[in-house]
Amino acid sequence: MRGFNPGRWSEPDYGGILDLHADVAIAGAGPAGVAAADTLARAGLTVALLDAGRHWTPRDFPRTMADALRHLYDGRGPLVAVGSTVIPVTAGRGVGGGSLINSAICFRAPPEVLREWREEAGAELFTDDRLGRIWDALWKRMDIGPDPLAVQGPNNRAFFRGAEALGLAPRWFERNTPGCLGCARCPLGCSAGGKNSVDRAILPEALETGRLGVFANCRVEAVEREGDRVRALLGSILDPETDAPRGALRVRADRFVLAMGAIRTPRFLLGTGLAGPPCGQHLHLHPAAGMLCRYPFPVDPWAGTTQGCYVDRRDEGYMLETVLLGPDQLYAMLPLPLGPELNARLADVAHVGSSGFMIRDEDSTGSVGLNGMRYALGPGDLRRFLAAMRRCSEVFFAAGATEVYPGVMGGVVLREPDDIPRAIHDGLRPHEIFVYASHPQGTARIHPDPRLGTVDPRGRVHGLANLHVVDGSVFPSAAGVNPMMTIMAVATALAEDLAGVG
Amino acid sequence: MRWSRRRFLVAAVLGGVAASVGGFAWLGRPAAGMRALAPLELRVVRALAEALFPAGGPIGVDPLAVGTVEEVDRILAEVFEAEAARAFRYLLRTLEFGTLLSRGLPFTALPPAERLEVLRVWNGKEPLPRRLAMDSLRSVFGMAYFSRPPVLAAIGWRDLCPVR
Ligand SMILES: Cc1cc2nc3c(=O)[nH]c(=O)nc-3n(C[C@H](O)[C@H](O)[C@H](O)COP(=O)(O)OP(=O)(O)OC[C@H]3O[C@@H](n4cnc5c(N)ncnc54)[C@H](O)[C@@H]3O)c2cc1C
Repeated sequence: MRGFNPGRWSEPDYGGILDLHADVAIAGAGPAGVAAADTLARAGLTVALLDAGRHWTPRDFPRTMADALRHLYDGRGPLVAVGSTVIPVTAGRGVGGGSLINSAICFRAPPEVLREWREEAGAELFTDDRLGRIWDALWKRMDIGPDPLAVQGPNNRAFFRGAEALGLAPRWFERNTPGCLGCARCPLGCSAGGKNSVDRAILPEALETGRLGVFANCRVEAVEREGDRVRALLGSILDPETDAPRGALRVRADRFVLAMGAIRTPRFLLGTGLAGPPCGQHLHLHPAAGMLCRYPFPVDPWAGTTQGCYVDRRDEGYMLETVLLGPDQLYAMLPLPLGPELNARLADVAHVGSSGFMIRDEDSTGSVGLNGMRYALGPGDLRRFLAAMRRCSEVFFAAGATEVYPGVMGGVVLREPDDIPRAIHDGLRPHEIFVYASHPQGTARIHPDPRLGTVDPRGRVHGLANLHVVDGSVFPSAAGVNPMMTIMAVATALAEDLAGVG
Repeated sequence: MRWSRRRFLVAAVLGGVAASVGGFAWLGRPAAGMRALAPLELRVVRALAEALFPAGGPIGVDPLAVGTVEEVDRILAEVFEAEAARAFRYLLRTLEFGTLLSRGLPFTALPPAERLEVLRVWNGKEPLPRRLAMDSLRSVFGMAYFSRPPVLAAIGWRDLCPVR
């Protein structure tokens, strides 16, 4: 395939070669890449949007976690960040990126975070007004709002009641799931078609401009460069089933945009030599954990929104967020002795409740390099993490739980609220607790000074005239709330600036 | 985390066992009907499935009768990247021969109750490398067993999601 071809394309269409030309080429079709492509195409530019993964429709989504990992997750499962402990880090893959498999929680970055970004990193484009206007439009286009109570499910409702009983003012999430049926399968892709992932909500309108081509199964691997200008993106066409190379791709453009997520974008920059340190540094993860409990009443963990309600304790550095998990995940997480005891709990899985939390990381240190990710929880972040764990345990008990499994290693089970401070004390070390992450950010951060940031305040890679980054890599620090909508707003703002509109 | 002397020793022993059992040896061709597991590994996977989910246990579904072993093999062949699948296979070999040192018999020759005891020790919180190995075993066997329709039916798990 050659030239510029608007529409959706995938490997069988290419005939083994892809040689494209467009005004702008974008690598990565997750929320950031799609938001940028939409903005640029509407501004009158021709856009080639490439993704290593494939196109999806609801009926194609896998039915098992193993197949979801195979097709919908970067690296076919969690990547890991190693440091003070080992943290699994997940990211999505395919046209739609993380929005295909995420829980669809929608938040706007708080004004104090945006102020911090403007004042400390010179991110002057991210004004409350500009991002507010972009968010308002995205909220409408993605049909974002709370799910009806009827689909929230008994587990989320129990946690909500517990938090209310403690006066913690829980709230139901706003989500881009206008057709949610409450089947708790978001991490496998929504086969009910109830989720407005970006490939379903934003991409179709962008395609209507006739100026956007979306090329699946295209892995970007290298660049052609001349002085301070990138001339072309180079890479491989991949077999949609096996990922084996099936041909070569070359995309020439006037401008290039990277949106491969906060792990792949810095790796690409480092691997191609387009940027050196501080690229890859300042990794933020929003360290998180799932926690389990046992209720004396059934909570049917297969029923409900994947994530239903939250308690906002950002004043203490964390958010509690309910989450429903599959039976395989419950099996991996329940801290009971292997064998009859653990199996008995699974045989009675209707009574297993779950929730979770995330913190805004402030004093942890992390980086993405060519050989992996490093991350060490700082003392303040560890304190906030343990405080969230205690609070989540309190809510479980207030909701009626008879046992709480807090995710402390060594088979720790809490049987009454008095156990909480004894088991979850501030002396716990990072490798003694279960930590998970799915919000990498900050690895090609904005700063006017090239010694302190990888991109300038307009998202352009320092030292290069026509290479931009628009994904969560550019965040100067952690957003503090689930990041998808902030990533989309930031990508839109940077793309508007690139196109000279907005 | 701090790497104490003891932890280093345990990690070194585990690594040494893995290397001597698998590292220098070719992992071998898949067993008949399998795509990833060699005959020895296939025996270990069977023994693990029997120990973790005994047919007469609380869930009451025989893991071997519902294709758990075949699903583990499929996960290694289709889901894992090649390097991760190789590491997992070394892990199975380490488990098999590790019990030669501690119990005088390979894992597959131990009675099921004793196999479970070994797995519980592996499931302990330290040393970290051993715990991570056990985490990966639990996660693969959990995905394999709890995706089998008879198992989901036995625990009452319902799939409410229609396909559009
Ligand atoms: C399980 C899970 C649940 C989550 N839940 C929520 C939630 O409820 N709410 C929320 O706000 N956030 C959530 N997140 C986070 C959110 O999904 C991400 O922050 C968001 O998707 C990031 O968008 P992105 O476009 O920057 O990157 P991604 O979504 O990671 O997209 C990057 C894209 O780039 C492609 N790519 C990578 N490398 C290459 C290459 N070399 N060539 C071509 N293409 C490439 C990938 O295939 C991928 O499609 C969740 C994440 C996960 C993993």
